Amino acid sequence: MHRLLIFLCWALLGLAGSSCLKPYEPAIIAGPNRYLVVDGHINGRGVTTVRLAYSINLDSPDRFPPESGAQVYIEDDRSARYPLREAGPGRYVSATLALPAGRSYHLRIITRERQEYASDLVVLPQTPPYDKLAATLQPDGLQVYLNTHDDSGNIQHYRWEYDETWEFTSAFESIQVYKKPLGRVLPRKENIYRCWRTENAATVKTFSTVRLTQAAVRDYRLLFVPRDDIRLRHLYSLNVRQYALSRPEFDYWEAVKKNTDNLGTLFDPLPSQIQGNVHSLYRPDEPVLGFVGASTVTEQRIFVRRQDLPVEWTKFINKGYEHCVDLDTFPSRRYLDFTYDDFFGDSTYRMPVARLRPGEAYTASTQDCVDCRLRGTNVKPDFWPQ
Amino acid sequence: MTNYLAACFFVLLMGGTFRSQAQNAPSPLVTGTYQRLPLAQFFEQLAAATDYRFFYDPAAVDSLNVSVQAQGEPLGQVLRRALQGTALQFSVDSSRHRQVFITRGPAISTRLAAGFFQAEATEAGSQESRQVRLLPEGASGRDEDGRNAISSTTKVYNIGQGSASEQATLAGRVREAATGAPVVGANVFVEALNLGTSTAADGSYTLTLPTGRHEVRVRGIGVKATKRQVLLRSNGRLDIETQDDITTLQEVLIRAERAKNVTSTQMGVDKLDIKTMRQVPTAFGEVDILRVVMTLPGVKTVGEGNTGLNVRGGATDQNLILFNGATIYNPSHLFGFFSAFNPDVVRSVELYKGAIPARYGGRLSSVLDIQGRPGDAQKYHFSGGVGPLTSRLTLEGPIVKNKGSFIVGGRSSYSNWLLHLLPNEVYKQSSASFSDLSGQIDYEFDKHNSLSVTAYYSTDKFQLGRDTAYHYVNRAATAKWQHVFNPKLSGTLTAANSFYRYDITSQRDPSTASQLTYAIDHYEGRADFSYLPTNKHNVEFGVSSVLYHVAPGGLEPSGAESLIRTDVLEREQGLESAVYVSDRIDLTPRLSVSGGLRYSLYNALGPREVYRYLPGQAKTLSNLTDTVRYGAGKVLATYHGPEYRLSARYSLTEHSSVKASFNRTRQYIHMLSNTTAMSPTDIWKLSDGNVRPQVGDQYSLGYYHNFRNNAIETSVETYYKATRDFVDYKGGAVLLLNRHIETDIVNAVGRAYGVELLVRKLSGKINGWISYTYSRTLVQVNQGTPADKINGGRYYPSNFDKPHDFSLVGNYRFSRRISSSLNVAYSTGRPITLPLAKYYDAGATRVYYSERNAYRVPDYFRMDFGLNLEGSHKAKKLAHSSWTFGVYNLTGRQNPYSVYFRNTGGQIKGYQLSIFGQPIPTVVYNFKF
Repeated sequence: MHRLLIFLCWALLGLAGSSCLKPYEPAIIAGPNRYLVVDGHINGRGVTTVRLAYSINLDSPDRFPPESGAQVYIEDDRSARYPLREAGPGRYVSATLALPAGRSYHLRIITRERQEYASDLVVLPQTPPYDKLAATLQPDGLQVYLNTHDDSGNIQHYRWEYDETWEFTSAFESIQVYKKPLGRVLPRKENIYRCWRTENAATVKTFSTVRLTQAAVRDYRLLFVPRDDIRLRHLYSLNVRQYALSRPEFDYWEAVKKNTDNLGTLFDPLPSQIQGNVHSLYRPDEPVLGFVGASTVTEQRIFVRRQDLPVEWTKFINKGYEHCVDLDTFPSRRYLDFTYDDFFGDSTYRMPVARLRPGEAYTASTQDCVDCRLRGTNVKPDFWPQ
Repeated sequence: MTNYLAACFFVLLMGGTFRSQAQNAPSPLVTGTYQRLPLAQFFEQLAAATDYRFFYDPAAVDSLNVSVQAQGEPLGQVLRRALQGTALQFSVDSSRHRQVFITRGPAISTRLAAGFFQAEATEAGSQESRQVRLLPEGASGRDEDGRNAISSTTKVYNIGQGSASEQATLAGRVREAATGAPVVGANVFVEALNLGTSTAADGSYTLTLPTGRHEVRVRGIGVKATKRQVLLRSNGRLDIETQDDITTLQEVLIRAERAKNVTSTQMGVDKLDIKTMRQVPTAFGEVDILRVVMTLPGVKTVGEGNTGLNVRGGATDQNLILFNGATIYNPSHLFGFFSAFNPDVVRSVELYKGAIPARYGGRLSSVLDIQGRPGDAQKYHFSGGVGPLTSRLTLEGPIVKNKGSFIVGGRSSYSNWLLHLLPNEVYKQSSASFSDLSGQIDYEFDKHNSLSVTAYYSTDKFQLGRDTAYHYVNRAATAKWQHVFNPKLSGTLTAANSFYRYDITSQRDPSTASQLTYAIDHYEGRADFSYLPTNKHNVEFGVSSVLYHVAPGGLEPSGAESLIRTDVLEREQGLESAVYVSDRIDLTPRLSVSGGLRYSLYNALGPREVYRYLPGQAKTLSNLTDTVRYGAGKVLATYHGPEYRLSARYSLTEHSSVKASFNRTRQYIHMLSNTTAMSPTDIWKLSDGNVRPQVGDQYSLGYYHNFRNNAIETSVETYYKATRDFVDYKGGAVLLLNRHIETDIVNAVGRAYGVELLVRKLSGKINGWISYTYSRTLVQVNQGTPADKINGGRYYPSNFDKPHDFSLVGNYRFSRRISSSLNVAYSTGRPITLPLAKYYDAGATRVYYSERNAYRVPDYFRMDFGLNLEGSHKAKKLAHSSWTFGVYNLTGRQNPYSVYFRNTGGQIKGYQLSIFGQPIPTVVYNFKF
């Protein structure tokens, strides 16, 4: 609906060149707004990971403070417990489990401040496998489709999480490095040219087959990658986790989706204070954010290689590096009075790229154009081929 | 007070009369014997004997002979004896004109000469002729056939026969002479007696007066004030034709209103005529009825580009919007940016927001009664206008001259050329268009029977890119038969049909290509009667019945590849019936009360399946116990109850009064909307076993004071309103294609209160109104599970709770041809639910929201300016034309139409959308020929 409005605004006034949209920044609401967030899913077969953290103010630049030192365990309806241990700040993992079918499970948490929380008991269904998870070429980019179905017809609600990883290179490959203490440029040993970036999906992907004649998901459009996107530059990988959902969990994610994707407009549903299924045992009014569902997880990773794409797509991809055009040279007439330290001292502005010729002459560019670590990691993921 | 003044005036006048008689030349003396002489000859001889001229209707004196003998007697005495025993009366004008008027019946003509009152009251033969009447220069005594307006004002109309009773009822219709159109809301009164009434929608009026001579005066909007001399003997009819008042609109307007503001028992009612509405500048020059209504106190809207009205804290579905008596379910074009009524075919708009008359029912907050304009019963006309967005064309004319007329008016937006100019591929593939058409036929069979048939059609089509197309249609038709049984009793029989449907077609993916449809069909029959037993009572009564057919939604696949399962919800039927009676009683001249009772009965009808839930539990799927199938015509739920309509007025002085009212209303049909505004995807849902009707009570109190001889009206009205069982939604409610909608909605409780101030000046070079409202509208949802309770079950501000609201509509007339108007609007920003905190869950940063409507968007302010240039005022020329220049949103303030937050790459950013966020200049050309 909101698209319609923006369009209407354009249709009525667009010719006059006025902008219909402008930022809205109300005096941000103060207050602690610190609520426990339980981010996790009970995995029926494998490792269950739960993250405990707290919410922060909208304009806060801080990271989300993790809840460390809590006791966390999965408990079934017969009080069998499966403990989770803290693998990192606020990150709790279980052993590789195969939880018995036909029982209900929930998550119990005792924080360091001795507050106790529990999620509602939920039955644990088997998530069906994918029928298809494939990227299809379209004229303007890559469309990832997903098919699945449930023979029993019981599974009617799905949610998908995915993370994307792609290999990319910075604009210029630096093979030299400026050693500040020495005041000299030396050959670089570390790779800062070829990097990998991983991103989690920011949008909630859910689908229900209730309205369809079959309990099947056909050609669900999981995501679209435009043809000039840097993700397609070398090698692109997509890892998709599929969860079968109960109806309440589906409703919860639908609500989250409404709240997250597009909110507060005249034509959208009112945003709501979404209640998850985790509750404080001592303070029932305390908001606890998050929904802990349970199911097995179907996970699959696909790769899209550069050679599988049309040549004209990848030939010119330099998205994000369009501004990296010319290399500086040092020493040169332009920087007559500069010392090495003046020139290379602040790597934000200049990093050596290559030795121009024997002797002391180097090409240089900004860190942004040279150091791929600004946009990813130079540690190759272990699942990466080659 | 008025009576006393009138009496003083009368005494003075009589005194003057006697005095003037004393100063007059004496009557000439007559000597002669006239034996069995035809009257005409008798007058000729008298004329020869005196130097007086005689005026008479030869037909009236045709067969009469006189025998009289006189010896030096005064002329008057001779005439009196001569005419004894005939129906003829005479009067002698003994001024320098020296005239004698002979009339059939008790006719008296007098005239004012050179500042003196000159009367023949004592000389005239009729005892009934106690009052002194002024005969304008140039009037002809013989000219009694009402050929021109001047003579009809001086002619004495003899009503009824005999004069058995002391009181008699005068009834009739007031119509425009040129078009035959009824004059509505005109005051018909006898100033001397301080008695009066105003004309009804068909121009009819009824007055109970003492028998005898009266001067009946008529004043109304857009018509020249006129009067009739009446001799009332017994009950009878007097139809009055008025002249169109082309130029002096405002001057007449106040007079029509002046009786109402202070003296009527009605409160919380605002009436606007189309001429007033045309002066208000609007976006793109589209004269917009609903937008002018929004400038009235107590009327608000959630957004600028939205025609959904919130009247005194009511939701947008709580307004009964009638166009010529037919309910219009979606009164807007282009998603609410323009109202769907062509101004060229509208005559007036009346908004009842306080005491709703008993004849109206079915909605909680208000009644917006839009009256169409009857066509010209004399000549054919074309009229129209050309604006930047739409063009209008209206044709009207007689079917049978003076008896029947028709009018057809259409309006259409231009093709999508504007869109195609936009520098965006998606927009180039888009389209947006709307049009409406309405027509009316009036026919008067005789004085007692008339028929009016109206039809209305509006449609909108809207497509964004190639994906989704929206289409909606309103259709309405009415037939009204008016019958006057006798001067005291008249009735109207109405049959109406309204229809609204929409469909949304989605073509984006072949596998999910589908069409979603919704439709509501409304059949209404009603009989309304008006009975005036005496001057002190004004009784209305009637019955009405509405049959609803709702197709609540259907989703159907489109295309062979579509996997969409056909999903059509079962139709809903309902029958809403009501009887009502109301009476306005003038207890004393100061105190008048109006009491009404409406009893409404609603039956939800089969065939339908109804879900049963555990009693006393929240309606959720887990509490669903049973499904019951009802056959066709079987009643599945019944609701009924009284609706009280009480009001009283106490006049403090001639120019001020206090009024109070209590109102109960019931509403059996609810609009389900996932937006706070009105949108084309809204669904109307009938009450049934699981959805109760809404009930609202309103108490109001007001003080009214007119200043400067009624030129300035002021009023203060306060109200308190309590509503229950109106529809609110659980978080994330699914409204479309929901077979168990009752599990997603909650019955909310609401309360609203406010003070409305209005200062209005409708005459003079500067005219307009200023209104200020302070009001609150609060909602409570306190049932179901803790998660269902909104804001913990406490009262929270509704979406349209805007405490401060100010508006000014001002016009300044430079000359008869040039006028300008200024419109200023300010209101508190509407409530909004704001994001409070962010957190990380399932791979993304998410937002935790505040309690519902805990904060507000920035305040709203807008100023518009308009300039109207009329063509020359020659009354008779081929074509009349006018130009309207306007600037909407003069200051270019970017009022937030909508505020929203979007999560872009983990960052939560707020945006505000301003639709009319810059000055919008407009030129419109109007013509009529």
